[in-house]
Amino acid sequence: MRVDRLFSPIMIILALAAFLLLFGLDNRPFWQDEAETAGLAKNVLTYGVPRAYDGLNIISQERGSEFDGNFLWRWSPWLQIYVAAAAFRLGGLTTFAGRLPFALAGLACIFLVYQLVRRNLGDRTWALCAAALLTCSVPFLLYARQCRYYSLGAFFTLMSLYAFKEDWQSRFRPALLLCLSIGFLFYTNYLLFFSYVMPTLLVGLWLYPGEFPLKRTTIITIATLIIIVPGLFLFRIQEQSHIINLAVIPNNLENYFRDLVQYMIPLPIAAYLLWRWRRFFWTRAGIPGESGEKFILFLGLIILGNIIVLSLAPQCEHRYLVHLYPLCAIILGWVILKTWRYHKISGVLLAFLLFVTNWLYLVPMDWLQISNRPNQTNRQMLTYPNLPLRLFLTELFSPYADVNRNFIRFFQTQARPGDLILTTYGDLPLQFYTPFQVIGGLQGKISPSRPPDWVVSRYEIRYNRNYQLQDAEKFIREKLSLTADYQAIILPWEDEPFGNRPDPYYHRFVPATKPLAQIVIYKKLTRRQHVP
Amino acid sequence: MFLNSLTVKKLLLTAGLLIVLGSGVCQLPELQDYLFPVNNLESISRQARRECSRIRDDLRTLNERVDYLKWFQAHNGPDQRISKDRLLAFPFSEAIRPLAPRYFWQTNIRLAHKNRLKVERKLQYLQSRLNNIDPNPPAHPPQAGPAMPAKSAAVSGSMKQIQQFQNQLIDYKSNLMELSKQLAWL
Repeated sequence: MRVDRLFSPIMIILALAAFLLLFGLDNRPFWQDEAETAGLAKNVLTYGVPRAYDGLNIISQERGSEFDGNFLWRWSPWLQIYVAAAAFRLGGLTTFAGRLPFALAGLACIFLVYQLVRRNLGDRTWALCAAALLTCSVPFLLYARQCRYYSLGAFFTLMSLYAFKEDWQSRFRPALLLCLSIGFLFYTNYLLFFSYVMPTLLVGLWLYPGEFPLKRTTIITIATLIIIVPGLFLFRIQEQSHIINLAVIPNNLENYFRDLVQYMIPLPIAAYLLWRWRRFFWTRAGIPGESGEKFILFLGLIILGNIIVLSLAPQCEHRYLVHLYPLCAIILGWVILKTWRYHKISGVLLAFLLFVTNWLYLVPMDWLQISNRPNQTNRQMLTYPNLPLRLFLTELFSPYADVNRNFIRFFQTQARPGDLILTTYGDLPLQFYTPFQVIGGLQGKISPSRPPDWVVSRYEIRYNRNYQLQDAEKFIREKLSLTADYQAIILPWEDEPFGNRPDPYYHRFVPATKPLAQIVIYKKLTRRQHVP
Repeated sequence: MFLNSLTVKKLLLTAGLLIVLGSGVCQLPELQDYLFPVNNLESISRQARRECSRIRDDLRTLNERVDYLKWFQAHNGPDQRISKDRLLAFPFSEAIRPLAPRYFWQTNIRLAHKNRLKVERKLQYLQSRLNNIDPNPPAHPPQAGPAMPAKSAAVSGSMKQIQQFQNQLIDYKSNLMELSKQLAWL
């Protein structure tokens, strides 16, 4: 390879991205959701299919409704599980191996962003700017470093856009790529599929009406349907649809739009784009003629449509927006270049604010008093004006043992073979990393054959979707007498709610200076230890 | 004229970005701690005051929503006219009440529970923060003689305030328990 190609700007960006995505990938253990994927992947290595029961433990966070009578997982799509299983097969049952393929998918997203803009819109500077923005997006990096579908979702979203901008109308390969990327998006997470495909199709028909030849479009639609139909039945989507709750839609819409402007597209830029395209909402004459801006409008409307569809689902989580981060990076890259061409100083200031800080996101929201800062957040998190990359690098170079690491270490050293552990949350990481039977969490009804040897009553009280206490919490309160039958062991570590959760509302880069609540573990007293 | 307006636009854009930049710099945690050092007690007391006011607001909203739901239950149906007071307090709910009473009921019950949970979590976190206060904070660097009594007076003032907040939390807790019971009966 020639030296100038080796040190081309995109190679430098990719090298930086590879470092940010791969360095210290196993600093912290899997948290609850990652451990669900990892646990199922571990079972794939034994049974060939994702089984929720391995003869000792049950993997569940929905009171056992995720699997059928044979414990076959029929809740979330299997692609992420098989990807993790393949990684475990090659790299062993380690945290690093579990997260590696997803981090690599994150890296591929950065390259695809570059390729999509450079190849189809012909602007190399814009392409580099967008790729660099995605590389510097700390929420995206956090999600891509998880053993979970997030980066795969972003990858297939980008892949479908890439195929769409190629000549799929007449060539076979782009058409096949379009079909497969949409199909795989379904098997990554069907919520992303539904929220992405419908708006994209409608917006595409509206903005690029001449680019949808009837015959080819019909063939691709049918082929995609053939790919996804087995999944529609396998994952019991019809049964899950009853959890759609109309009551939550207004609240979800509010939360998603707030998330969008707090982490993805700053409010002033969103307002500017709306103002710029205001005529478009009344008349087709407002559609930009320039191909780059038209594509930006296309992406903006896809994001808007995504949020509207997502708001129908009961759970409102930032993770369902992760596949839109690359789209936002493309939009922001375009805005930076537009500003630079308009006024150099402003362009530099804007680039600094967007690359290095989160101030353009949070400061205007603070002025309007609409920023979202749940009470568990602190000033060293992304919910406060900060230098996100500095926080991220601090975490990489000064890792700390989080709540899951501390629990794992404790039970690995203190519990004995055959012990039964009951915990109100964090059961899945314990199942993955320790050889013990772990019950409780969000698994649902508990009926142990004997009183648990260890009880962990986590500081944060967990409720179900109907705002009722989780079964594990109820069981501890109603069936156990912790003061009489157990010895409380107070450990000097903080009982933080989640551990390595990537959600910017919860992710801690540095430990709290003074723990709010310490970890308390209850050990069952033997008969001799009982005080009459 | 055209050039002028263009220059003004550019200036406004730069000024706006500079204001955000300046504001962001001022809010950086490390710089804030360096420029405006406050002692730990003072900062906790300030935070507790802010949180108590939020909890009070949330409890008021919860109380109003529970009363609203009780009123709806007692009058049994959507035929009641839209009231101006209720429209001001709950614009969305009051607007949809006659049109979709079931949806109205579900939405408000959910929002009430969400509100209850929010208050419960806030109380839990604030209480831990207040209980965790170190009564003997690490010694401050030596200071000139006359400043010392003023400092200890400030500390005892903050401690007194924190005690008041703890008492307020007890009231809020009992208030929340009462509202939770009413909500459970609905």
